[in-house]
Amino acid sequence: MRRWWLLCVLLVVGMGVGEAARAAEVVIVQSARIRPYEEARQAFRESLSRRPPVSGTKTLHPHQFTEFVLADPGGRQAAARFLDSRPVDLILAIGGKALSFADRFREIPLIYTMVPDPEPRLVFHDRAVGVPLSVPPTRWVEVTEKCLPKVQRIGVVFSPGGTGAFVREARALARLQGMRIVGAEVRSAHEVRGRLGDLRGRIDALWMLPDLTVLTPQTAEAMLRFSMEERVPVITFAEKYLRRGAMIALVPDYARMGQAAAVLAENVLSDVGSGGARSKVAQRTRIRVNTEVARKLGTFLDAAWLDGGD
Amino acid sequence: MPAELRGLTFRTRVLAYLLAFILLLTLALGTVLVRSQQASLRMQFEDEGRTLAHLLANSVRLDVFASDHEALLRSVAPVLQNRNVEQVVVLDATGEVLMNTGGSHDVSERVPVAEMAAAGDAPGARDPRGLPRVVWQEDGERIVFWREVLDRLAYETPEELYFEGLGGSGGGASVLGYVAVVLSKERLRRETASVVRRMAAVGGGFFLLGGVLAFLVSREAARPLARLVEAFRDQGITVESQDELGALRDTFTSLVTRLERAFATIQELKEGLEQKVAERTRELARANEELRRARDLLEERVRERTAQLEAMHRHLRQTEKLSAVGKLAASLAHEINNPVFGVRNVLQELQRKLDLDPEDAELVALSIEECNRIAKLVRSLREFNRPSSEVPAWVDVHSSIGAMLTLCRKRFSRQRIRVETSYSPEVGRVFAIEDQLKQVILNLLTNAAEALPEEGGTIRVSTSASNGVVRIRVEDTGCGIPEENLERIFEPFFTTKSAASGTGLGLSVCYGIVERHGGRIQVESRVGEGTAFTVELPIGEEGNERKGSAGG
Repeated sequence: MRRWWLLCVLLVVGMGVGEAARAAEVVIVQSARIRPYEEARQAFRESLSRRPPVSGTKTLHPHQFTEFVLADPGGRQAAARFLDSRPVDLILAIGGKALSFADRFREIPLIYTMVPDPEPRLVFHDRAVGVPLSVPPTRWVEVTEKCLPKVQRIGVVFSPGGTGAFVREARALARLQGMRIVGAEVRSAHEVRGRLGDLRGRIDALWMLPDLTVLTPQTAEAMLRFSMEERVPVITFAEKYLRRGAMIALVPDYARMGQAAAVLAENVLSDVGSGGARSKVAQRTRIRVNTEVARKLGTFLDAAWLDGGD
Repeated sequence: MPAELRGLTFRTRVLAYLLAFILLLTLALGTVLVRSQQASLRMQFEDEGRTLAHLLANSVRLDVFASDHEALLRSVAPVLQNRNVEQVVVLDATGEVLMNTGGSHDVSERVPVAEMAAAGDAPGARDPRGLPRVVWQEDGERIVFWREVLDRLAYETPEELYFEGLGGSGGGASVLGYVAVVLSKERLRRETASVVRRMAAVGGGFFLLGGVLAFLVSREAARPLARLVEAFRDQGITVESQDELGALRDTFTSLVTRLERAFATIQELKEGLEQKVAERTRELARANEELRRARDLLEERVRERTAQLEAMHRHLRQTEKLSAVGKLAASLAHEINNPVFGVRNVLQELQRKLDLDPEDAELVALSIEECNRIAKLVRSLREFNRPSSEVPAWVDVHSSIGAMLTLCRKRFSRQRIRVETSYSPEVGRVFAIEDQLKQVILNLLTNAAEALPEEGGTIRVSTSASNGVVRIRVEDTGCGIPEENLERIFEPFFTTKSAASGTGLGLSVCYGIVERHGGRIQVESRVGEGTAFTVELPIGEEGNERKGSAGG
C-alpha cells in the first residue's frame, strides 16, 4: 500500500513539470538560399536540438522547427500565414531581410543572425537579440599585423556615418601595434576614386570595409584595380572580393554564428533572457587568403601564423 | 531532245549533257557555298561586333562611372586594334559624348536609347548567356553596335556587401552610359569578294575536271555502241544514220520489220503446212484403206493358198499312203495269186475228171467260185498300183457313163433305185484310158447303190466342164458318211460294210485311177441326206504328158 502512494505522487509531479518544459515551436525565416545562410541554419538546428532546457525536468520532446525562405516563390506569404495562425515560441531570422520581416511579429521572441547592421531593421521589436555579422577592429588589426608583418601603413576609405567609429577604434589599436591608419574620408562613392588617388604611394595595405556609402561595385573594382596598380594588398571582409583580387578576407564563421544564435534561443526559451550567463558565444573569424594574388604582388605572408592562427 | 543535238553522235550528245549537268551543278554548288560563306562571314562579323560591344561596355563601366576620359582612351585602345573597327564612341547616361575616336560619321546623334531600353525591359531581352542585348544600326558602309553600360550604382543592403546571389544577376543595374562600336563593312565586302573569287576558281577547276571526266565517260559509253553499230554493218544491216542511236533505231526498226515479215512467212508456211498435212492425211487414209483391202485380199489369198496347201498336203499324204498300200497289195497279190490259180486249176480238174455227187460237186463249184473271187481280188490289188498297160485315147464321157448305167440297170431296178442323169452339152470327150474310166464310174455307181437302203433311193449322175476340166458327179440319197470317216474313205480296205459285201478297195482303186489321169476326186456327204462324189478330169490332148503318167 505504501508503494502505491509513492507511485501516484511521482506521476502527478512528473505531469506538472512536463507541461512546463514542453517542446518549443521554432520558426526559422531565412532571407535567401545561399551557402552561408544554410551553414548558419544547419548549425542552429543541430545546436538547439542537442541543448536541453536549462531548468526543470528533462523531457524527450524535440523542438519543432519550421523553415521559410523569403526569396522562394510564395515564401514570404507562407511564413506570414504561419506566424499569424500558429503559436510560435521563437523566430530565428537569418539575414537582414528576414530580420525586417520578423520585426513585425513583436509578440514572438526574435533571434537574429548573419545581419551586418541589425539596428536600423528593428523598428517594432524591442526584445530581439542576435549575433551581428561583423568582425571587430581588433581582429582586423591583429590579422594585419600578424599576416603582413611588414605593413606599417594601412589605408582605408570610409564614411563618417558608416565606418567612422570603426576606423577610430582601429586607428587606436593599430597605433598600439606600431602601425598607422591612413584614412580617406568620403561622403559618396563618387569620391572614392579620387581619394584612392590620394593614397597612392602612402600606404602598405588597404582595408576594404563594409561601408554602404563607400563600397559599390565600381568602388570595389577601383580598390582592387588600385591594389593591382600600386601593388598594395587589399584586406577585405567577404570572400567574393577575394576571388576578384583581394588578398586576405576576414570571414566570420557562419556555423559558429548559428551556434551562437542557438545559445541565445535556448536562453530565450528557458526565460533566462539575453542577459543571462549563457548568452555569450565566442565568435570566430576565418582567414581566407588568395595566395595567387599574394604571389603576384610579392607580398610577404606569415604562413606560420596563418597555419596556426584562428 | 533539243533540235540542235539531233544528228550529233551519241558520244557528242552524252558529252554535251554531262557538261551541261556539271556546269549547272558547279553553278548551283558555287552559289550555295558562296551564300553560305557570305552568311557565315556576316554572322562572324555580327558576332564580332556584339562581342566587342559587350567587352567594351563591361570594361568601361568604371571609367564611365568616373567620367575618366584618359581611362576611357586606355580601355578603348585595344578595341581599335581590330581592323574592322572604324570608330568607337562612349557616351554617358545623358548622351554626352565622353569619348569619340573620330570617324566620317557622327553616330552620337543616333543613339538608339529607346530600342536598347525596350530590349532591356522586354522579356528575354538578355541573351542566353545572361548578357544584355546589343542593338545595331546598319547602312551601306558600316554597322554600329550599341550596348548599354550597365552596373549597380550601390548595394541596397549591407548583406549584399558580403554575399552574392541575394539580388540576382543584373538586378537593380543602372544605365551608366552607352558604347558604340562602328564596324566597317569594307573588310566584309573584301572577304566576300575573295570567297567568290575562290569559289569561282574552285568551280572552274571542278568544271574542267568534270569536263575531262565527262569526255572519258562519253568515250567509254559510246565505244560499245559504236562496236554494236559496226557489228550491224558487218552483218550486212544497212545503217544510214551517222548517229549511233539513230543507227540503233534504224536497225531496230529494220529488225522489227524483218521479224514481222518472218512471222508472216512463218504464219503462211504454217497454214500451207497444215493444208498439206491435211492432204497428206487424207492420202494416207486412202492408202491405208487400200492397204487394208490389199491386206484382206492377201489374207484371203493366203487362206486360199493355205487351204490348197493343206488339201495338197492331205492329197500327198493320201497318195503316199495309197502308194505304200498299193505296193504292199501288189506284192501280196503276186504271192497269193499263184497258189490260188493252182488250187483253182486243181479244183477245175477234179470237177472235170471226177464224177462227184451233187453235194460235192456244189462244194467244188463253190470252191472254184471262191478261188475266182480271190483271183479277182488279187487282180484288183495288182491293178490298184500297177500302171495300166492300156493306151489312153479320146473317150466319150457320156457314152462311158451310159454303158455303166446299162450294166447296173438290173441291180438298180431290183433295188428300186431311180437314176437321174444331167449331162452338160459342153462335155465331150476326155483323153483317158476308157476301161479305167468306166471302172471308176462303175465303182462310184456301185458304191452309191450300196449306200442306198433296201427300199431304194435316187442316184443322180451329172456332168459339167469348164476351164479344160470335165466333172462327173455321182450323188445318192443314202445314209451319208460320218464326218470322221470322210478322211479315210479313200484308204484301201477301209469300209463300213460287212466283209462279205465289200472289200474296201473300190474307192481306193478309183482314187488311184483318177490320180494317174491327173485329175482328182472329191466327196461331199451329209449323214442321213446322201453323198456326192465328183471326179474332175482334165480334158487333155493327145501326146500330153499325162499319157506317160497315166500309163504308168
